[in-house]
Amino acid sequence: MASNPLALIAEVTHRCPLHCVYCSNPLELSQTASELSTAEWTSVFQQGGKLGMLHAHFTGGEPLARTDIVELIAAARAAGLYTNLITSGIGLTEQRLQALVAAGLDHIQLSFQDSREEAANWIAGAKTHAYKIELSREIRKHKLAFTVNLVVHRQNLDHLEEMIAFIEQMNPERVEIAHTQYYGWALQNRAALLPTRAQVEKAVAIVNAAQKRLAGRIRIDSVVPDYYAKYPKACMGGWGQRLVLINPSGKVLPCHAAEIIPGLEFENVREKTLQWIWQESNSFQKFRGESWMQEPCRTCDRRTEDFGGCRCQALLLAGDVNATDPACSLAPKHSIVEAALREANASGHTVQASPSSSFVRLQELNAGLWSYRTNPE
Amino acid sequence: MLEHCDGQRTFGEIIAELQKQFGAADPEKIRTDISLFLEQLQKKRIVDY
Repeated sequence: MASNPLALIAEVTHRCPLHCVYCSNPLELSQTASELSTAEWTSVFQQGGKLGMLHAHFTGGEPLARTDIVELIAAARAAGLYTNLITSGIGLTEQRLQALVAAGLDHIQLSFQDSREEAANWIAGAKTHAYKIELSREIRKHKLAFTVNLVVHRQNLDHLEEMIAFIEQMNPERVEIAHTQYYGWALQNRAALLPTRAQVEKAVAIVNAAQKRLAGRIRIDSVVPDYYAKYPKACMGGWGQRLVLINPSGKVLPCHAAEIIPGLEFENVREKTLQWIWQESNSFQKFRGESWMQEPCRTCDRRTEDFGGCRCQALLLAGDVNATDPACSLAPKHSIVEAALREANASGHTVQASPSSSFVRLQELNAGLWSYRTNPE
Repeated sequence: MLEHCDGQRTFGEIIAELQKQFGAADPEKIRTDISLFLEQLQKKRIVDY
């Protein structure tokens, strides 16, 4: 029997005004017409609250693209959930922010792509950087917990110190510095995003120093890149152990990428209760516990700590969803990750940001480097 | 303890309430324990006061 889920990740829409090249959304996005209604989301939050969930993380796409976002936040709050809005900030006016706070929003996570305007807009495929800075000032006027998110990779790691200083002046309680994880769009663009070993080592030292310097003032949480780690990440705290993700059309997933697993059917909140899906569904039980494990995971001392790593990464890299995550140094298919790292460490370093007035032009200019995330129909 | 932290009550008020609620415990120990607890949460930027 599984314990209760801790948190709900509500992907309320896949629509987004940004086109970030490392977007964690699946390549196949949920269509706008299939999105859950306000009433359907409200029912999901109520069920989550009754199941003992604590947090609702609103994400997307851009959650503010939902015209009913204030109602959704209020509904989650009424269900007893701590509400966190993970946003690019685009679509957040002064009035709307006020309405969200009045609806009971507890925490806002604002993403930045870089400290340098040109580079930030180049990564996002949209001119959004300046607006985000303005918004950060507006956010600080409210009684609202504030986290700044920064995704780091090959193209921006060389000026990490500058980016931390840039974030520091916005005075958030917390900063999340996350290395790119290679699924969906980021895997497609991996050659341009995967950092060198020297970049990663320097970044670790910079983050450690900043954590010491800012202790008690700004908390820095950092996600290390699993390609350079000795052991794999304990993805989502284990399959079906802590988290539930609901995609825009109501599919219930154990993680962001799980839909890519062939032959695994995921239930929909339109048809089944959240409790049944969590406790009984085949999809949530499939990799829960240890019975599915192969060697070397099956007899490994670390199997209760990292659960064999990420199932989606095992599928994407090793072609076998039951395999040990190739990021693990003990994995039979670790050579796949080693080969990617050899390539990343052999090739030229960074490229120059190419500013452009239009998204179409930006796509053309960078076609040889990466593909921008596009929008659902 | 955390239910008392509602953004309205002061540290002193919360301590006074807890001392009343747990009358059998040493009031000074309540103050030092809670103070230490909140300080740790503040350092992690979980609670502000």
